[in-house]
Parts: sequence; C-alpha cells; structure tokens
Amino acid sequence: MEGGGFTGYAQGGGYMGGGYEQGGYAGYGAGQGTNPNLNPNQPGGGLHTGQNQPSVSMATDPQNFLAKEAGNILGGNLLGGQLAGSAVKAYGERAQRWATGQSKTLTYYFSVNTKYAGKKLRLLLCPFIHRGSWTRMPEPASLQGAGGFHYKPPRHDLNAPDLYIPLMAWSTWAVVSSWLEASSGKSPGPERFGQIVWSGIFVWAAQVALLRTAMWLLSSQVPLLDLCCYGGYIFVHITAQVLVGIVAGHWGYYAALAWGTLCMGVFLVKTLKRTLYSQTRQASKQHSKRQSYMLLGIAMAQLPLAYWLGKI
Amino acid sequence: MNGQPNWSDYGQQPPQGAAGQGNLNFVSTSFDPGRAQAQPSYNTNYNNNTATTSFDDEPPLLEELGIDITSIFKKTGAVFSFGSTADGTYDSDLSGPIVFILGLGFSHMLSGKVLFGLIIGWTIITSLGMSWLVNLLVGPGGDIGMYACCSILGYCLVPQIVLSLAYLVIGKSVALSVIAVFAILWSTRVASRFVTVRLKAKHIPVEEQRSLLAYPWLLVFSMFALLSLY
Repeated sequence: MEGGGFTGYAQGGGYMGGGYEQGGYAGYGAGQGTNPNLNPNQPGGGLHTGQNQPSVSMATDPQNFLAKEAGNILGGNLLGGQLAGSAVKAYGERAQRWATGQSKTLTYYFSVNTKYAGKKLRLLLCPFIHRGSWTRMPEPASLQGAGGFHYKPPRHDLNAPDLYIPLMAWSTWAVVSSWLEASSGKSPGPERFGQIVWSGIFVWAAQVALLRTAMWLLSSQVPLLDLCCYGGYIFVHITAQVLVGIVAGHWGYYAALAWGTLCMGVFLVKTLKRTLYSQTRQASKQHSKRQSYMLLGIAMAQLPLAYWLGKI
Repeated sequence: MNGQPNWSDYGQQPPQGAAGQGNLNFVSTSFDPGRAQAQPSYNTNYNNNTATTSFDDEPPLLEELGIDITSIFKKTGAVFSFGSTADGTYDSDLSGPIVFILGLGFSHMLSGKVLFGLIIGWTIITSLGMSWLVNLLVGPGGDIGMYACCSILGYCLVPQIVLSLAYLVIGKSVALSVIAVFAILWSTRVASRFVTVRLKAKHIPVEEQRSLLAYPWLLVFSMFALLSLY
C-alpha cells in the first residue's frame, strides 16, 4: 500500500556500502583559535559561538528541538571552535542525521513490515525448512543509485538484514529477564533492569567484534551495520530459551539452548557464505577452506554467548 | 539596547531617563505548541513604574499556560473508551501526562515504594527511544516528535495507575497477575491507537506496520507494570 506521497522504499532506498556518508575523515587540527574564550561579555565569547543552528525552543519546534540541540553539542561548536575539527563535525552531523532518521544508511535497516518480521522470525527459529534461496537480492540495475552496490530493502527481500528484530529481541530479553528475576525474588526489579540491559549490549558488541574480526581475517568488506544485524539475531534465540525455560523448567532450557545455538550457527554460516562469495570472486581452494573454518568457528562461538546471557 | 538583555545590565542600576526604563521582554512559552503559537512579548516593568498593561487584556491563565482542560478530559476519555479517539486527531500536551505520572508515583508511595525519579526518567528515555524507532520504521515524511511520544506515554499510564491501585487492594495473587496482563495490553492498545491516529493525520500508510509499531509499547508498559508489582 505504497501510494500517495509516500515514496518510501518501493523505489529502492538502498544502502550505501559501508563507510561514511559524509565527505569523510579529514583529520583534526582545523581549530580556529588557541584560547577558548569563555567570557560571555566579550564579543565572540561564551560557550556557544560560531555557526550554531538557529536556536529553537521546545515550544516553537518540538520535532527538531532535541535533534538540533544534540547536533549543536556534537557538531563541535563548543569553546569557540576548539572542537570544530572537521572529523568531530562530521561525526556530529552524522549523529544528528541518525538521531532524526534522515540517514538513508540507517533507515534501510528499518524498512520492514509485519510480514517480513513474521517470516524472518520463522527463518531464524528453524532455518532447516527454508525452501527458498539464501542470497540477497540486489536492486535492479535501473534503480541502482550512485555510491556503491545496493541490495533490496528488507521489506522486499527476506534475506536482507534488518535492525528492528535484533533491537526488539534484545529489549524483550531484557524485559523478560527482569520479570523473571523480580518474580523469583532474587532482586528488586527496577535496579537490575539497567544491569541486564548493559549485559545485553556487551554480548551484542562481543558478537559484532567476533564477526568483524572474522570478516577482516577473510579480507571481506561487509558493512558494520550488517554485522550488527546478524549478530543481534542471537537475541531471538536467547529470548526463546528463557521463555521455554520458564515453561518447561531446567531441561527445557537446555534443550532450547542447544536448538537455539544450532539454528543461529546454521543461519550465520548460510548467510555469511553467500555474502563472502558475493565479495570475493576468485575462489582459490585454500581461501575457501579458510572461509569454511572461520564460519564454523563463528557458529560454534554462539554457544558460549547464548549460555552466558541465559544465565543472567 | 532597547529591551535586549545585556550581560552588563545585571547588577547595575538601569539607566534613568528617556533612554530606557530597563524593560525586560519575556516571551512566554506554552506547553502546547500544537495549538498556540508563542505568545507575543509582554512588557513588564523592572522598576515597578506605571502599569503598561491592563489586567483585562491578558488572556486567562490556563490559556496562557497552554493547558486545555477539555482536551485533557477528552484524551483521558479516549483511554477508557473502546472505540477510536473521538474525532480522529491527537494533539499532544504534557499537562495531563504530568498529572498521571505524579498519580502513578503517589499510588506507588501508598504501597511503600518511592519511585518518582525512576518513572520520570523512564518516561523520558523511552519516549526518546520510541520516537526514534517510529521515525525510522515509518520512513521519510513521518515523524512523531519526542514531545508527542511523551504525551502518549503519559496518557497510557492510566491503566498502570489502575494496576498499582489494584495491587494495594488485592495484594499479590493470581488475580493481580491477570489484572496486570490486562492493564499492559490495555496501555499498549491505547498507545498504538494514538500513534496510528497521529500518523494517519500525516497521511502515512501504517497498515503493514501496525504490529511492529505496537510491540515496543508492549515492552515499555511491561516495565512500568513491573514497577507496580514488585
């Protein structure tokens, strides 16, 4: 139902292949002065100087208030331009684009619909019965924009990674764990919630680090956000483990743990194999052997991660 | 110099004579940007000289503050009604939600837990997160600002107040768990209704993402229910 003014993703707002959207990293050292002038009485002094965004208050423009203020702070116009190196500025502008949802790189991963979510969850929980192909579908040549090769967004392609499901799975696991702990009397609920959330972030970061290292060792250029998505899918299994553990007790939990890590391993191997193959055209025998071992290693590493989180 | 506050003015005598009487211009902000524009500046006298505004010219206090009682009652009624919101629009305001947040805090206090800071903090952070998420899900052109998300969250805390009052009366039991589930689902349903109403007002198709938009609210209200129960 994509009619009217909603051009959206039907025409392929693809993703840019990795890297920065902005001009890039031009280095530090472009500051405009040596003494931060903090005295507000002098011209050009005070904390906020330089080219700020026009200041908006919450009353006049509530939609953009927070984003603009965040952009002001991050965009590096503090202290009379001391922090206005172009790298900081680029980060600040990118942060502002990400915060307001204008970044095409980020919105690609969220262009999902309910049908996709349902199918993807079924794929994750039981990848063995999937009949279709595992490769991602590229955009047709007519819709390829400038700046890299584009794939179809998740709502048109089951195999595309998305960030919605990992985020929701992680939050669900955090909520379910907090309920479990509170109801079993181990701890007062609200305080543990923060710690549980941070453990989840830690495991997600460990996953992404693992995947990134593996990809680097295999000299392939998978974008970091893609790896965040793939890594985050483990939370679906962890949530399922915990829920089964509530219902079926100890043995149910361990059975679900085994099943979940098996499924996650299979899913990762199948997805990453296609990704690697699409990147490295020359497939020397030794190279592909290394790839296979690496993928196997990744699959096996899912177990300790899931186990650790489930215990929390 | 005319009315522009200058740092050097503070702590000094305002200059006498025709040049100025040290007027300070205030721009009043309103709680409800959807309805009223920023009010024009009022002249208040630094020196308490002759009054320049007459009392009759000022708008009523509630309107000046941007608190619209009928609108608050209408939205609270929409929380309790099972149909859609009465006229299909949702204008956000924060005065109702503040009352409900305080109400939730007080009903927690009645059972011995002082959690005001937690409730307020969670409201802010989750509305930040929700507005970011909805922004990304719906794509370009659709955006609920953080303000509207805060407002929606606040109104949907009414079932949570009901839940915590039920906890006072009933105590921990199976019946309370049933009420908890009911309250969480009720909050979620109202929140997703408000969100879809607001998005439809911007002519954004939400049909294929309704469950996706509703699910995060479920998590949010589960956490608030956790506060009430434990």
